[in-house]
Amino acid sequence: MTFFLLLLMVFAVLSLLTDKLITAFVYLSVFSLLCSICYLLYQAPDVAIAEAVIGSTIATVLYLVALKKYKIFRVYYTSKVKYIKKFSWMADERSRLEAALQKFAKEKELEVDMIFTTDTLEQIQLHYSYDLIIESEDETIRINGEKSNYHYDEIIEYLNKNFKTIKSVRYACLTSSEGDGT
Amino acid sequence: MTNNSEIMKRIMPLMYPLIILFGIYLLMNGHMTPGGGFQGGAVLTSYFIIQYLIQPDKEMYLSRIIILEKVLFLLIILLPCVYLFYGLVNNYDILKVYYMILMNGLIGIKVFCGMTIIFFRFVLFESR
Repeated sequence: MTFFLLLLMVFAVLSLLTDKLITAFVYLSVFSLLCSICYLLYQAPDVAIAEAVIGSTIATVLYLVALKKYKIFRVYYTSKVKYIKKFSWMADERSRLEAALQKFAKEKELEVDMIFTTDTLEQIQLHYSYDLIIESEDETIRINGEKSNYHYDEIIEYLNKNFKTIKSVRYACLTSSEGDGT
Repeated sequence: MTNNSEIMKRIMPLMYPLIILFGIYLLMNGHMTPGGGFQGGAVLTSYFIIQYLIQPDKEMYLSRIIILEKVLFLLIILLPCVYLFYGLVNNYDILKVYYMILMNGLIGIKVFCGMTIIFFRFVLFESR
């Protein structure tokens, strides 16, 4: 009995401390299952069945569907240059990168929301909610994202494969205090 | 969830007769053993959830389920009224068991309909 109660606590804490929402859902599902075992041991089989069915199955499926529905992928594109000339190599690079992102989004059923600004990285990080920040300077394109964003690994893999430029592309991992989780 | 996995496709058809049997068992034996209308109905809900996981684009008749749920609600109100006011409670002891099973069954199917509606309402319509 005590063992299960302790495990319950462990999973509750684990689900709070994870970065990715999807792992938190899995932990919560295990938590519910353990909860139902506890009810069973307290001689309440009726409640145990209800908890097992609703808490660990239906709620988890609903959570996962909700996660699937979180579709908008916000990309900030910042550069110091205010006006990019048409047909310059910079504009070309930018449109190619955008095309690559759109293609990625189409595969994953996301919607890309591209926003062009002249704000600096820090400003964006502080004031806006973002999924990806692309910094374009003279020689490099820096793609910044959060590790806890659950498309981050996929997008970097995809860009590594499909997006080649003359300029060097660097990937940076941001760690922000905003626990948005998305 | 358009790209469904091969594992789900192969395992779930094997599982879901068992799940439905379990749900019906809970409904039928609710008056003696643990279980009952709500639990049985909730177990039965997994029928449509599994169907959604296997074939997401299969057509659903949600409006029919909504009508069915309303009818069941009426029945759940009417049946106890009939049972009470016609004096069946005191006269026939043998009816008690059947009455329990019938009520459990009705409640189970109503819960099944309600949960299915919630699930599909959420899956098909709600989005940002």
